[in-house]
Amino acid sequence: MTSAQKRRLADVATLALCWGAATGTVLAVLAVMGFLICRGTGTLGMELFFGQVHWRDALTGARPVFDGLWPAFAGTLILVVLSCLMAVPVGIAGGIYLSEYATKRFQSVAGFAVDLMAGIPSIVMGLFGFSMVVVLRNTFAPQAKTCLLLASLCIALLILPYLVRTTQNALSGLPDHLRLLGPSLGFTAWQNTRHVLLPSAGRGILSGVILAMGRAAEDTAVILLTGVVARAFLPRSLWDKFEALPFRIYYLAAEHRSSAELDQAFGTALVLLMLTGALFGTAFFIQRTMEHHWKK
Amino acid sequence: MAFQEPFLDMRDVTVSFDTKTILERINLRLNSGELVMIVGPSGCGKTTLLRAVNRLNEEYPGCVTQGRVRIRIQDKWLDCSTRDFPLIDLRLRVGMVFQHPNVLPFSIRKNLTLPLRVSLGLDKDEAERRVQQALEDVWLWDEVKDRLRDNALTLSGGQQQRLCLARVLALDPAILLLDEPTASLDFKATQKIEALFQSLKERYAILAVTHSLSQMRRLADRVLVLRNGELVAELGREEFEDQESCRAIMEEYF
Ligand SMILES: Nc1ncnc2c1ncn2[C@@H]1O[C@H](COP(=O)(O)OP(=O)(O)OP(=O)(O)O)[C@@H](O)[C@H]1O
Ligand SMILES: [Mg+2]
Repeated sequence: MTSAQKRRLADVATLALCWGAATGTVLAVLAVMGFLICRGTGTLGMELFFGQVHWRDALTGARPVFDGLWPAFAGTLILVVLSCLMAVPVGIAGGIYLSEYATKRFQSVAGFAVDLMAGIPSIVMGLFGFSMVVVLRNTFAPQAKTCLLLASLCIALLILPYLVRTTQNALSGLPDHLRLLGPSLGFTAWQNTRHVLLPSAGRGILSGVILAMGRAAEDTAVILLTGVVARAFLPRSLWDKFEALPFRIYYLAAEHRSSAELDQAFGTALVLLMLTGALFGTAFFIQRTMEHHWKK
Repeated sequence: MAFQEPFLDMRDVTVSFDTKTILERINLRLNSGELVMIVGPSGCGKTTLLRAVNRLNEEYPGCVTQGRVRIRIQDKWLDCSTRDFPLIDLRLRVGMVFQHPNVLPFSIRKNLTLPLRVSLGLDKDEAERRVQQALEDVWLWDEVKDRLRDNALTLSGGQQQRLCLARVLALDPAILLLDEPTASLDFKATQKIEALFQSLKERYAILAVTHSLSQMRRLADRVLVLRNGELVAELGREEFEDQESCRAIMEEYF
Protein backbone atom coordinates (compact mmCIF):
# COMPACT_ATOMS: atom_id res chain seq x y z
CA MET A 1 0.00 0.00 0.00
CA THR A 2 1.31 3.46 -0.84
CA SER A 3 1.56 6.08 1.84
CA ALA A 4 -1.24 8.08 0.25
CA GLN A 5 -3.49 5.02 0.40
CA LYS A 6 -2.55 4.43 4.02
CA ARG A 7 -3.40 8.01 4.95
CA ARG A 8 -6.69 7.72 3.15
CA LEU A 9 -7.50 4.46 4.92
CA ALA A 10 -6.71 5.99 8.33
CA ASP A 11 -8.98 8.87 7.45
CA VAL A 12 -11.87 6.63 6.50
CA ALA A 13 -11.38 4.40 9.52
CA THR A 14 -11.41 7.39 11.90
CA LEU A 15 -14.53 8.74 10.30
CA ALA A 16 -16.27 5.37 10.51
CA LEU A 17 -15.31 4.94 14.17
CA CYS A 18 -16.51 8.41 15.16
CA TRP A 19 -19.69 8.02 13.19
CA GLY A 20 -20.32 4.64 14.74
CA ALA A 21 -19.73 5.92 18.27
CA ALA A 22 -22.03 8.91 17.75
CA THR A 23 -24.79 6.78 16.25
CA GLY A 24 -24.41 4.21 18.98
CA THR A 25 -24.85 6.86 21.66
CA VAL A 26 -27.93 8.30 20.02
CA LEU A 27 -29.39 4.83 19.53
CA ALA A 28 -28.79 3.91 23.18
CA VAL A 29 -30.50 7.09 24.40
CA LEU A 30 -33.39 6.57 22.00
CA ALA A 31 -33.76 2.94 23.08
CA VAL A 32 -33.93 3.83 26.77
CA MET A 33 -36.30 6.70 26.18
CA GLY A 34 -38.43 4.61 23.84
CA PHE A 35 -38.69 1.81 26.35
CA LEU A 36 -39.59 4.20 29.16
CA ILE A 37 -42.17 5.99 27.06
CA CYS A 38 -43.57 2.70 25.81
CA ARG A 39 -44.04 1.22 29.27
CA GLY A 40 -44.61 4.39 31.26
CA THR A 41 -46.87 6.63 29.19
CA GLY A 42 -49.94 4.53 29.89
CA THR A 43 -49.66 5.17 33.60
CA LEU A 44 -49.17 8.93 33.34
CA GLY A 45 -52.14 10.74 34.76
CA MET A 46 -53.70 12.12 37.87
CA GLU A 47 -53.80 8.74 39.51
CA LEU A 48 -50.06 8.15 39.16
CA PHE A 49 -49.46 11.45 40.90
CA PHE A 50 -52.17 11.62 43.51
CA GLY A 51 -53.69 8.15 43.86
CA GLN A 52 -57.33 8.39 44.91
CA VAL A 53 -57.01 11.92 46.31
CA HIS A 54 -58.31 14.93 44.39
CA TRP A 55 -55.37 16.98 43.07
CA ARG A 56 -56.56 20.15 44.78
CA ASP A 57 -56.58 18.50 48.18
CA ALA A 58 -53.19 16.96 47.48
CA LEU A 59 -51.53 20.18 46.38
CA THR A 60 -52.84 22.14 49.35
CA GLY A 61 -51.88 19.26 51.61
CA ALA A 62 -55.47 19.01 52.88
CA ARG A 63 -55.44 15.22 52.47
CA PRO A 64 -52.38 12.96 52.46
CA VAL A 65 -51.56 11.08 49.26
CA PHE A 66 -51.20 7.36 49.93
CA ASP A 67 -50.38 5.74 46.64
CA GLY A 68 -49.23 8.48 44.27
CA LEU A 69 -45.82 9.85 43.52
CA TRP A 70 -46.69 13.42 44.50
CA PRO A 71 -44.84 13.39 47.87
CA ALA A 72 -41.80 11.88 46.17
CA PHE A 73 -41.99 14.50 43.43
CA ALA A 74 -42.12 17.29 45.99
CA GLY A 75 -39.34 15.66 48.00
CA THR A 76 -36.98 15.43 45.01
CA LEU A 77 -37.79 18.96 43.90
CA ILE A 78 -37.04 20.39 47.35
CA LEU A 79 -33.92 18.24 47.62
CA VAL A 80 -32.52 19.46 44.29
CA VAL A 81 -33.38 23.10 44.93
CA LEU A 82 -31.99 23.07 48.46
CA SER A 83 -28.76 21.30 47.59
CA CYS A 84 -28.22 23.58 44.59
CA LEU A 85 -28.87 26.64 46.74
CA MET A 86 -26.11 25.42 49.01
CA ALA A 87 -23.67 24.08 46.43
CA VAL A 88 -23.95 26.41 43.42
CA PRO A 89 -22.79 29.66 45.10
CA VAL A 90 -20.02 27.88 47.00
CA GLY A 91 -18.94 25.87 43.97
CA ILE A 92 -18.83 28.86 41.63
CA ALA A 93 -16.99 30.95 44.21
CA GLY A 94 -14.51 28.11 44.70
CA GLY A 95 -13.98 27.86 40.96
CA ILE A 96 -13.42 31.61 40.71
CA TYR A 97 -10.91 31.47 43.53
CA LEU A 98 -8.97 28.58 42.02
CA SER A 99 -8.87 30.12 38.56
CA GLU A 100 -8.33 33.79 39.37
CA TYR A 101 -6.69 34.15 42.75
CA ALA A 102 -4.96 30.95 43.82
CA THR A 103 -1.24 30.46 43.38
CA LYS A 104 -0.07 27.75 40.96
CA ARG A 105 0.90 25.56 43.88
CA PHE A 106 -2.41 25.87 45.67
CA GLN A 107 -4.19 25.33 42.36
CA SER A 108 -2.64 21.93 41.90
CA VAL A 109 -3.12 20.85 45.53
CA ALA A 110 -6.73 22.03 45.69
CA GLY A 111 -7.41 20.72 42.21
CA PHE A 112 -6.29 17.28 43.30
CA ALA A 113 -8.53 17.48 46.36
CA VAL A 114 -11.49 18.47 44.19
CA ASP A 115 -10.90 15.58 41.81
CA LEU A 116 -10.60 13.22 44.76
CA MET A 117 -13.89 14.50 46.10
CA ALA A 118 -15.56 14.00 42.73
CA GLY A 119 -14.41 10.40 42.85
CA ILE A 120 -16.00 9.62 46.23
CA PRO A 121 -18.76 7.04 45.74
CA SER A 122 -22.11 8.47 46.76
CA ILE A 123 -22.76 5.71 49.30
CA VAL A 124 -19.69 6.93 51.19
CA MET A 125 -21.14 10.43 51.22
CA GLY A 126 -24.37 8.93 52.62
CA LEU A 127 -22.40 7.13 55.27
CA PHE A 128 -20.74 10.41 56.15
CA GLY A 129 -24.13 12.06 56.73
CA PHE A 130 -25.32 9.10 58.70
CA SER A 131 -22.30 9.10 61.00
CA MET A 132 -22.74 12.83 61.48
CA VAL A 133 -26.16 12.14 62.97
CA VAL A 134 -24.71 9.41 65.17
CA VAL A 135 -22.06 11.78 66.46
CA LEU A 136 -24.63 14.52 67.06
CA ARG A 137 -26.86 12.10 68.98
CA ASN A 138 -24.02 11.09 71.26
CA THR A 139 -22.97 14.65 71.93
CA PHE A 140 -25.02 17.81 72.12
CA ALA A 141 -28.12 16.99 70.08
CA PRO A 142 -29.61 13.71 71.32
CA GLN A 143 -32.82 14.29 69.31
CA ALA A 144 -30.93 14.53 65.95
CA LYS A 145 -32.19 12.27 63.18
CA THR A 146 -31.72 11.90 59.46
CA CYS A 147 -33.83 14.42 57.59
CA LEU A 148 -34.34 16.46 54.43
CA LEU A 149 -31.82 19.10 55.43
CA LEU A 150 -29.12 16.55 56.15
CA ALA A 151 -29.76 14.79 52.83
CA SER A 152 -29.56 18.11 50.97
CA LEU A 153 -26.30 18.93 52.71
CA CYS A 154 -24.76 15.60 51.74
CA ILE A 155 -26.01 15.93 48.13
CA ALA A 156 -24.56 19.43 48.06
CA LEU A 157 -21.19 17.98 49.09
CA LEU A 158 -21.56 15.36 46.38
CA ILE A 159 -22.13 17.86 43.56
CA LEU A 160 -19.75 20.55 44.79
CA PRO A 161 -16.64 19.28 42.96
CA TYR A 162 -18.39 19.33 39.56
CA LEU A 163 -19.30 22.96 40.08
CA VAL A 164 -15.83 23.97 41.21
CA ARG A 165 -14.13 22.20 38.32
CA THR A 166 -16.41 23.39 35.53
CA THR A 167 -16.29 26.97 36.79
CA GLN A 168 -12.52 26.86 37.06
CA ASN A 169 -12.13 25.36 33.60
CA ALA A 170 -14.59 27.75 31.99
CA LEU A 171 -12.73 30.74 33.45
CA SER A 172 -9.18 29.62 32.83
CA GLY A 173 -10.08 28.70 29.26
CA LEU A 174 -10.73 32.34 28.45
CA PRO A 175 -8.10 33.88 26.16
CA ASP A 176 -5.39 36.22 27.43
CA HIS A 177 -6.58 39.21 25.46
CA LEU A 178 -9.92 39.13 27.28
CA ARG A 179 -8.17 38.67 30.60
CA LEU A 180 -5.91 41.73 30.15
CA LEU A 181 -8.61 44.01 28.84
CA GLY A 182 -10.32 44.75 32.15
CA PRO A 183 -7.14 45.68 34.01
CA SER A 184 -6.04 47.88 31.10
CA LEU A 185 -9.27 49.83 31.53
CA GLY A 186 -8.75 50.31 35.24
CA PHE A 187 -10.82 47.41 36.57
CA THR A 188 -9.86 45.72 39.82
CA ALA A 189 -9.38 41.96 39.77
CA TRP A 190 -12.89 41.42 41.11
CA GLN A 191 -14.48 43.92 38.71
CA ASN A 192 -12.75 42.16 35.84
CA THR A 193 -14.06 38.79 37.00
CA ARG A 194 -17.55 40.10 37.62
CA HIS A 195 -18.02 42.21 34.50
CA VAL A 196 -15.83 40.57 31.87
CA LEU A 197 -14.83 37.02 32.73
CA LEU A 198 -17.98 35.61 34.34
CA PRO A 199 -20.33 36.78 31.57
CA SER A 200 -17.95 35.32 29.00
CA ALA A 201 -17.72 32.00 30.83
CA GLY A 202 -21.45 31.81 31.61
CA ARG A 203 -22.26 28.95 29.29
CA GLY A 204 -19.45 26.76 30.56
CA ILE A 205 -20.54 27.36 34.14
CA LEU A 206 -24.13 26.55 33.19
CA SER A 207 -23.09 23.13 31.91
CA GLY A 208 -21.60 22.44 35.35
CA VAL A 209 -24.81 23.50 37.06
CA ILE A 210 -26.85 21.21 34.81
CA LEU A 211 -24.51 18.30 35.49
CA ALA A 212 -24.82 18.97 39.20
CA MET A 213 -28.61 19.18 39.09
CA GLY A 214 -28.88 15.90 37.25
CA ARG A 215 -26.64 14.26 39.80
CA ALA A 216 -28.66 15.70 42.68
CA ALA A 217 -31.93 14.51 41.21
CA GLU A 218 -30.89 10.94 40.44
CA ASP A 219 -28.79 10.03 43.44
CA THR A 220 -30.25 7.32 45.63
CA ALA A 221 -27.36 6.09 47.71
CA VAL A 222 -26.85 9.32 49.64
CA ILE A 223 -30.48 9.81 50.57
CA LEU A 224 -30.89 6.13 51.44
CA LEU A 225 -28.75 6.69 54.52
CA THR A 226 -29.80 10.23 55.28
CA GLY A 227 -33.55 10.29 55.56
CA VAL A 228 -35.50 8.96 52.59
CA VAL A 229 -38.38 6.61 53.41
CA ALA A 230 -41.01 4.81 51.38
CA ARG A 231 -43.94 6.59 53.02
CA ALA A 232 -43.56 10.04 54.50
CA PHE A 233 -46.20 12.18 52.79
CA LEU A 234 -45.22 15.78 52.14
CA PRO A 235 -42.33 16.93 54.35
CA ARG A 236 -43.65 19.51 56.80
CA SER A 237 -40.24 20.90 57.67
CA LEU A 238 -36.59 20.48 56.80
CA TRP A 239 -36.25 18.24 59.87
CA ASP A 240 -38.71 15.72 58.45
CA LYS A 241 -38.15 12.47 56.66
CA PHE A 242 -39.12 12.62 53.01
CA GLU A 243 -39.86 10.64 49.86
CA ALA A 244 -37.92 10.93 46.62
CA LEU A 245 -38.52 9.86 43.03
CA PRO A 246 -35.43 7.69 42.46
CA PHE A 247 -36.07 5.83 45.69
CA ARG A 248 -39.73 5.37 44.77
CA ILE A 249 -38.68 3.92 41.42
CA TYR A 250 -36.34 1.58 43.24
CA TYR A 251 -38.86 0.15 45.66
CA LEU A 252 -41.67 0.02 43.09
CA ALA A 253 -39.41 -2.04 40.84
CA ALA A 254 -38.02 -4.16 43.66
CA GLU A 255 -41.35 -5.01 45.28
CA HIS A 256 -43.81 -5.08 42.42
CA ARG A 257 -46.36 -7.87 42.47
CA SER A 258 -47.96 -7.24 39.07
CA SER A 259 -46.75 -5.85 35.78
CA ALA A 260 -49.11 -2.91 36.32
CA GLU A 261 -47.13 -1.97 39.42
CA LEU A 262 -43.90 -2.27 37.47
CA ASP A 263 -45.34 0.05 34.83
CA GLN A 264 -45.86 2.54 37.64
CA ALA A 265 -42.12 2.47 38.18
CA PHE A 266 -41.57 3.30 34.51
CA GLY A 267 -44.12 6.08 34.72
CA THR A 268 -42.30 7.45 37.76
CA ALA A 269 -39.01 7.30 35.88
CA LEU A 270 -40.59 9.30 33.07
CA VAL A 271 -41.75 11.89 35.58
CA LEU A 272 -38.24 12.07 37.03
CA LEU A 273 -36.86 12.64 33.53
CA MET A 274 -39.39 15.39 32.89
CA LEU A 275 -38.61 17.00 36.24
CA THR A 276 -34.89 17.11 35.55
CA GLY A 277 -35.62 18.34 32.03
CA ALA A 278 -37.71 21.16 33.46
CA LEU A 279 -34.95 22.02 35.95
CA PHE A 280 -32.37 22.12 33.13
CA GLY A 281 -34.70 24.38 31.19
CA THR A 282 -35.02 26.70 34.17
CA ALA A 283 -31.25 26.86 34.64
CA PHE A 284 -30.82 27.53 30.92
CA PHE A 285 -33.45 30.27 31.02
CA ILE A 286 -31.90 31.95 34.07
CA GLN A 287 -28.45 31.89 32.46
CA ARG A 288 -29.70 33.32 29.14
CA THR A 289 -31.63 36.06 30.93
CA MET A 290 -28.57 37.03 32.94
CA GLU A 291 -26.38 36.90 29.84
CA HIS A 292 -28.81 39.07 27.94
CA HIS A 293 -28.86 41.55 30.79
CA TRP A 294 -25.08 41.58 31.09
CA LYS A 295 -24.28 41.93 27.43
CA LYS A 296 -26.91 44.44 26.44
CA MET B 1 7.41 72.13 17.23
CA ALA B 2 8.10 73.19 20.79
CA PHE B 3 7.36 70.38 23.19
CA GLN B 4 6.42 70.85 26.76
CA GLU B 5 8.15 69.08 29.54
CA PRO B 6 8.24 65.28 29.52
CA PHE B 7 5.12 63.43 30.50
CA LEU B 8 6.50 59.99 30.92
CA ASP B 9 9.93 58.99 32.08
CA MET B 10 11.19 55.40 32.13
CA ARG B 11 14.54 54.70 33.73
CA ASP B 12 16.44 51.42 33.45
CA VAL B 13 13.31 49.36 33.02
CA THR B 14 14.02 45.65 32.81
CA VAL B 15 11.27 43.08 32.31
CA SER B 16 11.64 39.34 32.50
CA PHE B 17 9.21 36.48 32.13
CA ASP B 18 10.08 33.33 34.07
CA THR B 19 13.74 34.39 34.40
CA LYS B 20 14.00 35.09 30.66
CA THR B 21 14.91 38.74 30.15
CA ILE B 22 12.69 40.33 27.51
CA LEU B 23 13.48 44.02 28.00
CA GLU B 24 16.88 45.22 29.11
CA ARG B 25 17.48 48.62 30.76
CA ILE B 26 15.07 50.69 28.74
CA ASN B 27 15.32 54.48 29.07
CA LEU B 28 12.57 56.50 27.48
CA ARG B 29 10.98 59.93 27.72
CA LEU B 30 7.73 61.02 26.22
CA ASN B 31 6.81 64.67 25.95
CA SER B 32 3.30 65.98 25.96
CA GLY B 33 1.88 66.54 22.50
CA GLU B 34 4.42 64.20 20.99
CA LEU B 35 3.95 61.00 19.01
CA VAL B 36 6.80 58.57 19.49
CA MET B 37 6.91 55.38 17.49
CA ILE B 38 8.66 52.16 18.35
CA VAL B 39 9.83 49.92 15.55
CA GLY B 40 11.69 46.65 15.59
CA PRO B 41 11.57 43.06 14.40
CA SER B 42 8.79 40.72 15.49
CA GLY B 43 9.26 39.36 18.99
CA CYS B 44 11.77 42.01 20.06
CA GLY B 45 9.56 43.16 22.93
CA LYS B 46 7.56 46.10 21.59
CA THR B 47 4.29 44.98 23.10
CA THR B 48 6.04 44.16 26.34
CA LEU B 49 7.50 47.67 26.40
CA LEU B 50 4.06 49.24 26.06
CA ARG B 51 2.74 46.97 28.78
CA ALA B 52 5.59 48.03 31.03
CA VAL B 53 4.27 51.59 30.98
CA ASN B 54 0.87 50.72 32.44
CA ARG B 55 2.29 47.76 34.36
CA LEU B 56 0.07 45.29 32.55
CA ASN B 57 2.90 42.76 32.38
CA GLU B 58 2.36 42.18 36.06
CA GLU B 59 -0.97 40.52 35.33
CA TYR B 60 1.09 37.54 34.18
CA PRO B 61 2.42 35.33 36.92
CA GLY B 62 6.17 34.91 36.63
CA CYS B 63 6.85 38.42 35.35
CA VAL B 64 9.39 40.60 37.13
CA THR B 65 9.80 44.30 36.37
CA GLN B 66 12.66 46.41 37.64
CA GLY B 67 13.46 50.06 37.17
CA ARG B 68 11.44 53.22 37.53
CA VAL B 69 8.47 54.57 35.61
CA ARG B 70 7.24 58.08 36.38
CA ILE B 71 4.41 60.10 34.92
CA ARG B 72 3.77 63.80 35.36
CA ILE B 73 0.28 64.82 36.33
CA GLN B 74 -0.53 68.49 36.87
CA ASP B 75 3.13 69.44 37.33
CA LYS B 76 3.73 66.69 39.82
CA TRP B 77 5.90 63.67 39.11
CA LEU B 78 4.45 60.41 40.37
CA ASP B 79 6.55 57.31 40.69
CA CYS B 80 4.28 54.55 39.39
CA SER B 81 6.71 51.72 39.85
CA THR B 82 6.35 51.58 43.63
CA ARG B 83 4.56 48.59 44.98
CA ASP B 84 1.71 50.54 46.54
CA PHE B 85 1.03 52.89 43.63
CA PRO B 86 -2.68 52.66 42.80
CA LEU B 87 -2.67 50.69 39.55
CA ILE B 88 -6.19 51.80 38.73
CA ASP B 89 -5.18 55.47 38.62
CA LEU B 90 -2.18 54.63 36.47
CA ARG B 91 -4.26 52.68 33.97
CA LEU B 92 -6.88 55.38 33.75
CA ARG B 93 -4.14 57.91 32.96
CA VAL B 94 -2.47 55.63 30.47
CA GLY B 95 -4.91 54.22 27.95
CA MET B 96 -3.91 51.21 25.88
CA VAL B 97 -5.19 49.91 22.54
CA PHE B 98 -4.17 46.33 21.89
CA GLN B 99 -2.49 44.84 18.87
CA HIS B 100 -5.64 43.02 17.79
CA PRO B 101 -9.11 44.53 18.05
CA ASN B 102 -10.14 43.54 21.52
CA VAL B 103 -13.84 44.18 21.87
CA LEU B 104 -15.93 42.58 24.57
CA PRO B 105 -18.55 40.17 23.24
CA PHE B 106 -21.21 42.61 24.47
CA SER B 107 -23.22 45.31 22.76
CA ILE B 108 -21.45 48.28 21.21
CA ARG B 109 -22.84 50.59 23.84
CA LYS B 110 -21.90 48.32 26.71
CA ASN B 111 -18.33 48.12 25.41
CA LEU B 112 -18.08 51.85 25.99
CA THR B 113 -20.25 52.35 29.05
CA LEU B 114 -18.90 49.44 31.09
CA PRO B 115 -15.50 51.01 31.89
CA LEU B 116 -17.10 54.42 32.35
CA ARG B 117 -19.50 53.10 34.92
CA VAL B 118 -17.23 50.54 36.57
CA SER B 119 -13.90 52.38 36.64
CA LEU B 120 -15.06 55.99 36.82
CA GLY B 121 -18.43 55.40 38.48
CA LEU B 122 -20.16 57.85 36.12
CA ASP B 123 -23.93 58.06 36.09
CA LYS B 124 -25.98 57.04 33.10
CA ASP B 125 -26.37 60.45 31.47
CA GLU B 126 -22.74 61.44 31.76
CA ALA B 127 -21.73 58.02 30.40
CA GLU B 128 -24.06 58.42 27.41
CA ARG B 129 -22.63 61.85 26.70
CA ARG B 130 -19.08 60.55 26.75
CA VAL B 131 -20.01 57.58 24.55
CA GLN B 132 -21.27 59.88 21.84
CA GLN B 133 -18.28 62.20 22.17
CA ALA B 134 -15.78 59.34 21.95
CA LEU B 135 -17.55 57.76 18.99
CA GLU B 136 -17.52 61.10 17.20
CA ASP B 137 -13.82 61.48 17.99
CA VAL B 138 -13.06 58.26 16.11
CA TRP B 139 -15.59 59.00 13.34
CA LEU B 140 -17.66 55.99 14.23
CA TRP B 141 -20.79 57.73 15.48
CA ASP B 142 -22.51 57.97 12.12
CA GLU B 143 -21.75 54.36 11.33
CA VAL B 144 -23.07 52.88 14.55
CA LYS B 145 -25.52 55.33 16.05
CA ASP B 146 -28.48 53.24 14.91
CA ARG B 147 -27.07 49.93 16.09
CA LEU B 148 -25.61 50.65 19.52
CA ARG B 149 -27.46 47.62 20.89
CA ASP B 150 -25.90 45.21 18.40
CA ASN B 151 -23.10 42.93 19.46
CA ALA B 152 -19.74 44.63 18.94
CA LEU B 153 -18.41 41.50 17.24
CA THR B 154 -20.68 42.26 14.27
CA LEU B 155 -18.54 45.31 13.43
CA SER B 156 -15.79 45.09 10.81
CA GLY B 157 -12.16 44.82 11.89
CA GLY B 158 -11.48 48.51 11.32
CA GLN B 159 -14.63 49.53 13.12
CA GLN B 160 -13.73 47.28 16.04
CA GLN B 161 -10.29 48.85 16.23
CA ARG B 162 -11.81 52.31 16.30
CA LEU B 163 -14.31 51.17 18.92
CA CYS B 164 -11.42 50.04 21.10
CA LEU B 165 -9.81 53.43 20.63
CA ALA B 166 -13.07 55.17 21.50
CA ARG B 167 -13.36 53.07 24.63
CA VAL B 168 -9.98 54.32 25.78
CA LEU B 169 -10.58 57.94 24.76
CA ALA B 170 -13.85 58.00 26.69
CA LEU B 171 -11.88 57.42 29.88
CA ASP B 172 -10.00 60.66 29.20
CA PRO B 173 -6.40 59.46 29.58
CA ALA B 174 -3.28 61.64 29.35
CA ILE B 175 -1.07 59.13 27.55
CA LEU B 176 -2.05 56.72 24.79
CA LEU B 177 -0.30 53.42 24.12
CA LEU B 178 -1.13 52.13 20.65
CA ASP B 179 0.04 48.67 19.64
CA GLU B 180 0.09 48.39 15.85
CA PRO B 181 -3.28 50.05 15.61
CA THR B 182 -3.53 49.55 11.86
CA ALA B 183 -2.12 46.03 11.65
CA SER B 184 -5.31 44.38 10.44
CA LEU B 185 -6.80 47.22 8.47
CA ASP B 186 -7.18 47.97 4.80
CA PHE B 187 -5.84 51.03 3.06
CA LYS B 188 -8.94 53.15 3.57
CA ALA B 189 -9.39 52.35 7.26
CA THR B 190 -5.67 52.89 7.82
CA GLN B 191 -5.95 56.33 6.30
CA LYS B 192 -8.83 57.14 8.61
CA ILE B 193 -7.00 55.98 11.71
CA GLU B 194 -3.82 57.80 10.74
CA ALA B 195 -5.72 61.02 10.26
CA LEU B 196 -7.23 60.39 13.65
CA PHE B 197 -3.80 60.13 15.25
CA GLN B 198 -2.77 63.40 13.68
CA SER B 199 -5.64 65.08 15.47
CA LEU B 200 -5.16 63.14 18.73
CA LYS B 201 -1.51 64.12 18.86
CA GLU B 202 -2.44 67.58 19.96
CA ARG B 203 -4.31 66.39 23.00
CA TYR B 204 -2.36 63.35 24.14
CA ALA B 205 1.16 62.09 24.43
CA ILE B 206 1.26 58.98 22.24
CA LEU B 207 3.57 56.00 22.29
CA ALA B 208 2.83 53.75 19.32
CA VAL B 209 4.21 50.56 17.82
CA THR B 210 4.23 50.16 14.07
CA HIS B 211 5.46 47.72 11.47
CA SER B 212 5.07 50.10 8.59
CA LEU B 213 7.97 52.38 7.73
CA SER B 214 5.80 54.62 5.58
CA GLN B 215 3.37 55.07 8.43
CA MET B 216 6.26 55.88 10.70
CA ARG B 217 7.47 58.55 8.29
CA ARG B 218 4.02 60.06 7.98
CA LEU B 219 3.19 60.24 11.68
CA ALA B 220 6.14 60.04 14.02
CA ASP B 221 7.89 62.93 15.70
CA ARG B 222 10.56 60.63 17.00
CA VAL B 223 11.39 56.98 16.41
CA LEU B 224 12.88 54.43 18.77
CA VAL B 225 14.38 51.27 17.37
CA LEU B 226 14.08 48.21 19.59
CA ARG B 227 16.09 45.08 18.99
CA ASN B 228 16.33 42.01 21.20
CA GLY B 229 14.82 43.91 24.09
CA GLU B 230 17.20 46.86 23.89
CA LEU B 231 16.69 50.33 22.52
CA VAL B 232 19.44 50.56 19.92
CA ALA B 233 18.69 53.89 18.28
CA GLU B 234 16.70 57.06 18.59
CA LEU B 235 15.92 58.96 15.42
CA GLY B 236 14.63 62.49 15.00
CA ARG B 237 12.39 63.64 12.14
CA GLU B 238 15.25 64.87 9.98
CA GLU B 239 16.90 61.44 10.09
CA PHE B 240 13.96 59.40 8.80
CA GLU B 241 12.20 62.06 6.73
CA ASP B 242 14.19 61.25 3.66
CA GLN B 243 13.01 57.96 2.19
CA GLU B 244 16.42 56.70 1.11
CA SER B 245 18.31 57.41 4.30
CA CYS B 246 15.41 56.03 6.32
CA ARG B 247 15.58 52.78 4.40
CA ALA B 248 19.32 52.60 4.85
CA ILE B 249 19.03 53.11 8.60
CA MET B 250 16.35 50.48 8.93
CA GLU B 251 18.36 47.98 6.89
CA GLU B 252 21.09 48.47 9.42
CA TYR B 253 18.95 47.80 12.47
CA PHE B 254 16.62 45.01 11.33
N1 LIG C 1 3.16 36.63 28.89
C1 LIG C 1 4.34 36.23 28.44
N2 LIG C 1 4.94 35.16 29.00
C2 LIG C 1 6.15 34.74 28.54
N3 LIG C 1 6.81 35.31 27.53
C3 LIG C 1 6.26 36.37 26.93
C4 LIG C 1 4.99 36.89 27.35
N4 LIG C 1 4.69 37.95 26.57
C5 LIG C 1 5.71 38.08 25.72
N5 LIG C 1 6.66 37.14 25.93
C6 LIG C 1 7.90 36.99 25.17
O1 LIG C 1 8.50 38.24 25.05
C7 LIG C 1 9.05 38.41 23.77
C8 LIG C 1 8.57 39.71 23.19
O2 LIG C 1 7.18 39.64 23.00
P1 LIG C 1 6.36 40.89 22.47
O3 LIG C 1 4.93 40.47 22.38
O4 LIG C 1 6.65 42.06 23.31
O5 LIG C 1 6.96 41.09 21.01
P2 LIG C 1 6.58 42.17 19.90
O6 LIG C 1 7.80 42.97 19.67
O7 LIG C 1 5.35 42.88 20.29
O8 LIG C 1 6.33 41.24 18.64
P3 LIG C 1 5.27 41.43 17.45
O9 LIG C 1 5.82 42.48 16.55
O10 LIG C 1 5.25 40.10 16.79
O11 LIG C 1 3.96 41.81 18.06
C9 LIG C 1 8.66 37.20 22.95
O12 LIG C 1 9.79 36.37 22.85
C10 LIG C 1 7.59 36.52 23.76
O13 LIG C 1 7.72 35.14 23.65
MG1 LIG D 1 3.41 42.94 19.61
